Amino acid sequence: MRETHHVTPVRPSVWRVQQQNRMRVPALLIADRLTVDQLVSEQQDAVQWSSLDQLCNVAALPGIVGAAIGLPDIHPGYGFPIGGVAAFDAEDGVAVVGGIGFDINCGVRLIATPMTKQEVAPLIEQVGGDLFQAIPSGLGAEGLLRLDRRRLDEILREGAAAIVAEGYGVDDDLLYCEEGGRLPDADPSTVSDLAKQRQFKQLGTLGSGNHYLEIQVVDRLLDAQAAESYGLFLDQVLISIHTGSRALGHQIGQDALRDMAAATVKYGLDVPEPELACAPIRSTEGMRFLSAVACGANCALANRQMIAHRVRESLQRTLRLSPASVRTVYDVGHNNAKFEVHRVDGRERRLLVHRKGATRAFGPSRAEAPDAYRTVGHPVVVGGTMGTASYVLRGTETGMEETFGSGVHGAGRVLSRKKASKKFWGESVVAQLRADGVRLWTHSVRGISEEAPGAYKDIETVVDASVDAGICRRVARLRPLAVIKG
Amino acid sequence: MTVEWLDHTADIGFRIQHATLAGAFAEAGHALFSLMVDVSSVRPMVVHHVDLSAETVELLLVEWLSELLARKDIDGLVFSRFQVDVRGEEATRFRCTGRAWGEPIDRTVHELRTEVKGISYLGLTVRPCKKGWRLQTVVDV
Repeated sequence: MRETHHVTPVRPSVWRVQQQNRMRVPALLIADRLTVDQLVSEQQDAVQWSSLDQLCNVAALPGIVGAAIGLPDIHPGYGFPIGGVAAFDAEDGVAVVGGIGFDINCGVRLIATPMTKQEVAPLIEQVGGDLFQAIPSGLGAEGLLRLDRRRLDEILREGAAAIVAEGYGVDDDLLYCEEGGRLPDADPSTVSDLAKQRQFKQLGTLGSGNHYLEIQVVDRLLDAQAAESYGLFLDQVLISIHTGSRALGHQIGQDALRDMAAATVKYGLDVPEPELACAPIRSTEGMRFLSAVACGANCALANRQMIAHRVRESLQRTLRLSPASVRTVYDVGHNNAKFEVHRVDGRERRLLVHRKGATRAFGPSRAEAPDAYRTVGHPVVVGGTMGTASYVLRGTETGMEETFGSGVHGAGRVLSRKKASKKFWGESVVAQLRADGVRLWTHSVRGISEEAPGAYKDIETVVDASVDAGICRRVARLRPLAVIKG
Repeated sequence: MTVEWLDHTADIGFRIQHATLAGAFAEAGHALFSLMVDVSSVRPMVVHHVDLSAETVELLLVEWLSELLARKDIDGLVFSRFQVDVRGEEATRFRCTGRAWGEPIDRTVHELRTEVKGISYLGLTVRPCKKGWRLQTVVDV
């Protein structure tokens, strides 16, 4: 029989899970009442994998600080829930493989055009069709550039900056990427040769599954000051690129599982589940892992930079837009672990903050934000389902205090892929989207059934809970005009 | 042989029962690629040889499936036929040798599905059962 977790309300959309048994800290849930009830039922009904159990297991890890945090899009992951955040003391905490996952620094690059819906919608077949041809996607897709070890090592060190330096982008792109488009302390020698070999053909590819490129329209502005800072206006056409570190990141994750499982035993770490394999941050294994993660993160930044370049080329062909007129709004990841300084119990501490399916959402006046965004804070790009909406949010001081400056990354799944593929028929999903004014291009109609909008939570509910809890604020809502899936 | 697909919210798992351990490993390869492509359309034109080892039979399963994923990216191959031998050589060393047959990915021929990113340790199981062997894994898509 599973242990019972005691969940009590703190304030609207904020719940505390009592510290008990192996937990070293409490857990904090940001969610509406219905979601909390569902999480508790799921746990008590002893379904195979429970988000609540996973969150409380994370709260039992050595060196965890504050609370283990579950965000409104929480659902089960590999030991560490997706939509989960956990921070560890930089000196005596641990680095957790499951807190990052296989798709290192998966994230979203949001791009703005000067065009409006009225100008682009009549041309959507041409615009979307050209993008579908221009951006390699789906199983077996190959990038237009072939890499070798030397070139790939440069990308792993320099991230998006390496791609811009080769002429695929503009310098301003880097200003509007997290970390300036490059994570430091990324040593390519910490990445296996197998991981590198797997990446040689994959630079600039979109992937498949929940990865996508969307042509979107700003259909609501909800924070005039922030929208102006971000250069957003009503009816503006934007493009979102959702992808990550591709095969290199996948192999880094695979290698890390094996290495960190051994490290967990070597250092006598008491972890509740094997999937929470970890190593002391300051150990050889921990530092090697974090260096490899930085390499993977840089690979993801480079990948999105290359795709953004291809988007510019495509829009020049179809809409006669100059590359300079197509600008990066922001590039932000949602699977990573970063060293950050946060105020905990009245004092500043350096922490390793893991965000698994969670987006950094720093509040206003943080040095990490680009100069143009500093007053309001950087954009938090939250991808919804292809039939509904996405959001641009921004962080708050409350979020900095309670969630280490973290927000949701998407709507979060409610149906397994197995159930979704039984419930939804790919062709019907495509037809329904077309009827709703959303054009879809894909290499896998079967994959579409798994990604049907009905397989996900309602994005409005997820954002409502975030705003209700005070950890984020809405800036703009984006509706899809067209979706490209692998 | 039976393949049972498991419910995992974000990703997908499978459980396989087979009379032999080698057969279970082979079916795991088949299940893995059936997530990514219509395996019935993949011709056994190219052969890839494997010789892998790990400390436990569970980790050996991960090594086997990971190796197949790596070939997908490095050589652009998808596989449809598998023949392996799995044996324990020492208390903490298990070995998998064998072959996988397939062909280069061809979008004009193969119905594409969803790419698998990696093999997790979630619910990872390889153990004897009444009908032979049962294995289980959850893969990241």
